[in-house]
Amino acid sequence: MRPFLCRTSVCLLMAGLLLTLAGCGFRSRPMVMKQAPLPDEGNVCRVAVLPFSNQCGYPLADTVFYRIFVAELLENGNYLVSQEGDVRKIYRQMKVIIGRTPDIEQIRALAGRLGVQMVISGSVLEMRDKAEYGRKLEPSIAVVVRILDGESGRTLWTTFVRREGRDYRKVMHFGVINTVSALAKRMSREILEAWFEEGLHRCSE
Amino acid sequence: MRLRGIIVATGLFLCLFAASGVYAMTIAVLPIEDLSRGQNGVNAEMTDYLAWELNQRGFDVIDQDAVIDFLARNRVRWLGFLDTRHIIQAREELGADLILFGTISLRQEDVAPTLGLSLYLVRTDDTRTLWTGSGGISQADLIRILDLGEKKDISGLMALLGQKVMEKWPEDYVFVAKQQPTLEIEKVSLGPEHIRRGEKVSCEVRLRTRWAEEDMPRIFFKAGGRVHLARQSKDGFTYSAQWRVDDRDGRYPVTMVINWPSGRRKVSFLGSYSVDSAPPRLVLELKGIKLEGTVAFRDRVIIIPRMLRREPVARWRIKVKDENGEEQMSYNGYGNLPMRFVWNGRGKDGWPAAEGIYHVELEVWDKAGNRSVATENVAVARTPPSMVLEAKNRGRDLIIDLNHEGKVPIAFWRMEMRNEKGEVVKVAEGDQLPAREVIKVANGRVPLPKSVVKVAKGFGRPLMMDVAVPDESKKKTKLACTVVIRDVLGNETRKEIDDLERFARGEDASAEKEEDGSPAWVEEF
Repeated sequence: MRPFLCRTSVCLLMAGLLLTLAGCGFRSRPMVMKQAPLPDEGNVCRVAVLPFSNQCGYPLADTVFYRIFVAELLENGNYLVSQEGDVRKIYRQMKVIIGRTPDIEQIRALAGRLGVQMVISGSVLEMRDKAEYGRKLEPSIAVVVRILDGESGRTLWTTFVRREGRDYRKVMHFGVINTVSALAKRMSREILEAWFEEGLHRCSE
Repeated sequence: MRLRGIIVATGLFLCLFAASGVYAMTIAVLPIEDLSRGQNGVNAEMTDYLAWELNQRGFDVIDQDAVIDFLARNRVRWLGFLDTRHIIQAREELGADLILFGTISLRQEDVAPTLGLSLYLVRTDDTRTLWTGSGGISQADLIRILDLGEKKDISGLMALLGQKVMEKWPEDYVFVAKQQPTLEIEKVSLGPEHIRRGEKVSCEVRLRTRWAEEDMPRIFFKAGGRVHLARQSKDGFTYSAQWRVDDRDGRYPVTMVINWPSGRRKVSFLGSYSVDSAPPRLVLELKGIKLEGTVAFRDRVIIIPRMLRREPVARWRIKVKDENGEEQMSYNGYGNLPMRFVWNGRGKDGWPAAEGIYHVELEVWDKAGNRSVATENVAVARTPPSMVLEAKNRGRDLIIDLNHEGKVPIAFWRMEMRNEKGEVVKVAEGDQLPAREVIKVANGRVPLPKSVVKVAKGFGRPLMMDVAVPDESKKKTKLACTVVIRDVLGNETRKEIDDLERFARGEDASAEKEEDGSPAWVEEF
């Protein structure tokens, strides 16, 4: 009888500890604000991603997040994403400054020229992995990603998400994300999962 | 029966061979971009590692020198420039079936060694991205017991990250469906963007697709409710049309309509143009003192252009002409109008322009080429106010009358009285003329404190001033006086009188010194 009680109490203690530690890593789902429904009820395949804008002091934060987000978009959604060079070429031809969101008419023209149904744009609001004087910090990123309609140029969905490396802590130090690249990858995946839950479909082509 | 078995076996073998996906696959590994070294940074170490890794996996990897030559030839300085055309060219020029390119998105060595990598695998046949992989690694991820043997530099992390990202390398990419070619537009040239009624718009579209003769569509450009048939160029990729614009002022979207013989139809938005036949509505506002309906100035005048209806301006020109029509100043520019212009009243030679009326003319052209002119007159007035100063003795009082002649109102006047020692004994000032002052010469021993007496109304209310005689010998004291008058434009007249008493008697006119405010050379001291 006594060893049984001892074993049970140890198990309960461990379970409580695990639950307590796991609680550290709680994070809410990225917020998706819907301004209008997606084209073709979310059955979209051809997508163009506009160069992101960098609104933080981290050098090339826009390019870092953009490249990782596009990689995740291809991997998780199987979309046919227009080449970055094609988008930038049209930007040059339309005299749009990189980092600035084109106006509605330019988005319509860009989507028409690339033959895409949906355009994605985004802004990196925060990206850091070290403090002043080079002290190491756990990485943190905040982004706004928008889905625009290729036909009308209107913003359909807006998603804001901010994460820190420690948001992914499981037990003790395990699970903590130590690089902005890995954090950007996780965040991109979370954004896409939120979109899939809200009604965007993976491409089946 | 045996033959059938051989065929089935051969088929299975071919399928498995194809499934292995590496036979005769040529891959070009583009230099891996390293963002930690700036936008043009390249990481040769990672590039070499990936080339080696793919070679190990059975790919025929194209030599790096040939890849770099290709990039240089096509002016691809960094990945952001790599477009569909380059990918197709890589197939034609390098013979690559696949292209692997990527970015080191993070590389940190100073605090804790950290690396981030994203890779893209593209099929050159249809430019479809077959696979992407990304990941990051930090020294902190490699936790060891008690931190023993932990590396403090980045060497080793590179290969580790490469392996980690390549773990998910697709084995079945040969089965990825071909990307259906869509109507992709290489270039659109629609212009002019702003146009006047009656002028011609031209539209030229270069497509990436060329159809077979039997599937050749008819292509139209649609604008303002009308359709215009596009002509195909000799190479078959470019379509163009021109049409005259007779529509009302406004913005007109242009779409491309493609009608295939099969009945399929596609509409693509190309851009828009604005019809603008109305000249810009413009007025000039001059900041200054208005005299007889014209703004007058001495040193400078501020000219503010105001658009009554806001619209983009292509160019502008401002001119100032004198009464004979001779140009005194001109200035032009491109783009929107400045908030204001300032004319310093000088001619082209740099000398102050003569007094008189000048004609300011601002010409503005909008983006469609409509011209608008706004004019305004301005007067240069540099004559100092002419001072009328009279003094007369009345018993022990000295009465001074001050007035001016001229059309320009007075800003202020000031009268200073000094004794023989040069001490200021009295100051009077006001902003209206004529003014009268009565000076009482007192016999007090103690000099009165000097003070400033403001004369608000001037005439009709004589100003009484007691001036102490400093000397006990009761001699007539000698009072010097300085009078200044300035008009509202800044022109100034100054008069100095050495002895007021003698001035009142009209004895010594040579003691008077009158100066006007006109520019003159002064000796430097």
